[in-house]
Amino acid sequence: MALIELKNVFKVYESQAGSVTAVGGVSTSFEEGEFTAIVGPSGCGKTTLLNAIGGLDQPTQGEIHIDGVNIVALKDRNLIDFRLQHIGFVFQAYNLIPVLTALENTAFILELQGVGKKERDARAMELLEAVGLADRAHNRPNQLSGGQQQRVAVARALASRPRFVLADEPTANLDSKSTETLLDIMAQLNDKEKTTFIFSTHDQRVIDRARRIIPLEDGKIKSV
Amino acid sequence: MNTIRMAWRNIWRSPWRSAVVIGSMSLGVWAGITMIGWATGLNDARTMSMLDDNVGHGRVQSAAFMESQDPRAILPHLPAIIEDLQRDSTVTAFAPRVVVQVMIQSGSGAAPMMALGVYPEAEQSVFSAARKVVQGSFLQDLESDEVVIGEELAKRLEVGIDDRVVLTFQDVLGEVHSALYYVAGVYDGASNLLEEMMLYVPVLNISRQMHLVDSLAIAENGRFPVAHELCFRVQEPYAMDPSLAHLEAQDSLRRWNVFIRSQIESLDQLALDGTPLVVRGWRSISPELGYADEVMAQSLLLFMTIILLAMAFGILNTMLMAILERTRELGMLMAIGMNKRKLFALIVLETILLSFAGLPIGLALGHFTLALTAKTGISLKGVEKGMAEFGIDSTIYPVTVPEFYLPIAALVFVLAFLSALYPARKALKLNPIESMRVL
Repeated sequence: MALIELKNVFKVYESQAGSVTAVGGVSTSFEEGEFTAIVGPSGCGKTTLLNAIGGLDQPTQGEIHIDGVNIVALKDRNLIDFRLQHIGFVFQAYNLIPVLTALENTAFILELQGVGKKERDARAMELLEAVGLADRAHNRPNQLSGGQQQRVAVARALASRPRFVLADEPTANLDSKSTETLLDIMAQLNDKEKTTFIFSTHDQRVIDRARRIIPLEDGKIKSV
Repeated sequence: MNTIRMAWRNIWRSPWRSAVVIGSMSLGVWAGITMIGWATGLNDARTMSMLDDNVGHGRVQSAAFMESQDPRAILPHLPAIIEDLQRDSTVTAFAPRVVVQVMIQSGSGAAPMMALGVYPEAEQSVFSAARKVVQGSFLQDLESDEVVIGEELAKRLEVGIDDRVVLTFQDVLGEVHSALYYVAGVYDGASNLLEEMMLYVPVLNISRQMHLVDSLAIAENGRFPVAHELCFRVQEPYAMDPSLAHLEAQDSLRRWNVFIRSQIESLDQLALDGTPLVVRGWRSISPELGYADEVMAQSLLLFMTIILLAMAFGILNTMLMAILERTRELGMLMAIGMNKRKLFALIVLETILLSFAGLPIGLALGHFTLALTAKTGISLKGVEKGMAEFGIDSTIYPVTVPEFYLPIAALVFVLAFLSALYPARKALKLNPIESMRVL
């Protein structure tokens, strides 16, 4: 059974100007351990699709099964808990909590899960070492560069050992060197922890490193 | 990282804004505490003035006299009661009194009055009204036909020193007596009402005419042969319950009351000269003074609530601004799995911490201000005359009010919680995706 299975997923936005189809009937699946990039130009529906897979946005139609659970049918409260337990997120703008240190940011998900301090700090430190920021563990986000913040965001996403990580344009705000570093780290973690990574991107450097490409055009998967 | 620490750090993301809120909370609490301390000081001064003037701190009476002012209900075994009273170390002075309802008449008018038959020296040791004689002098002995009246009554009856007045009253045998008295002195009471209500006469003079006492009793009972009530002062009038309990347990009262109770059971009736004795504190003697204390405390708490309510709106506004500024972050927190209960707790905690940060500062400042002014006093010379009408000195001595600190802390907590509800509701309604689009 596939880790993630999308069945005829639609997302249509209604407005006064008429309806806009952001995702138009996507059906695909993702296996465990994949390192996949959803690619396409701006406005093709990459982020919308990623948000739907992450349970952040409700599809207008279709089903999304994660480990056999149709998350489209979950109630809001259960969906939040589902995200907490199964999905890691990396956002384009890092979105770290400014009042927490790198270590606290990384351990934050574990705290939400109710993991004890000792255990969560050990796991957070392990991940910060993995992303090369052990020496910045006690720095707050404003004391870190953009690339370093995104590496902390990756560490945070992986802290609870999620079934998969969704990364929305993770390199969009990074320079070349930071991008390469981040991609190296994610590839290593994908190998080492067997965590599934799904990116949305139009960054060629990410596309080059992906092991599977899903091209999206006008909300539909483009046949290659 | 626990929620409390995160909430605390969130408060300091806008240090100036938080400092202003904390500062205004401190000032509000300081102003409230100071006002409460001043008002309590003023009220205490008024209460003490009334107690000193005429009410006294406590009284021993028979139940029959207490309930119906029946003139026949004199205190039994008075010397024994006085002996017990003198043994009590908390009692600083006492004054036996005979109380008689009379009608006073002069050439210009008449008025119903309460005549206090007093032992002058004892009366002056307990009550200040007997010491505040502004014309003539207070009573000098126990038997003369002199009377001391209040200033207001003197004006109303148009009498002065050495003028004659007639007192009319009913003795214990039911016969009506009229007797001529000379005005020996005019006193300045705590209030006009008191001056129009009370007059002083020598105790044995009025007691003989009332047939309350005879020569034999006078010879047997020593210095204080007769009284309807025994008024006394204690060291701490605001903490006199132990004194009252101690007095009630004394032999003179206890044995008498045990004896009387056995009589009541066997005779199934109350003899007027055989009712139980009661010891009462000033709150029972003059309930209006006790009520004034309670009403004052409640009014002050209400006033404090109004001050804090105004503060609460400021805090609500601050929290709304904080939520608005952190829309993106709150959306992210919900996206990564922070549930609504935890988000609600975070915002409520931030609000409560923000409110509570100013509380100890305000309380400490208020306490310090009151402790300082309690020593120096606050002079209100401008309203000296008006205050004197109520028998209050123009210098107020505020008191520290630690008993209010806990209720105020509870008020701050409740109001902070309430002011957190609206911002928290706004936060909970955020959509993670839309919130994260906010720049």
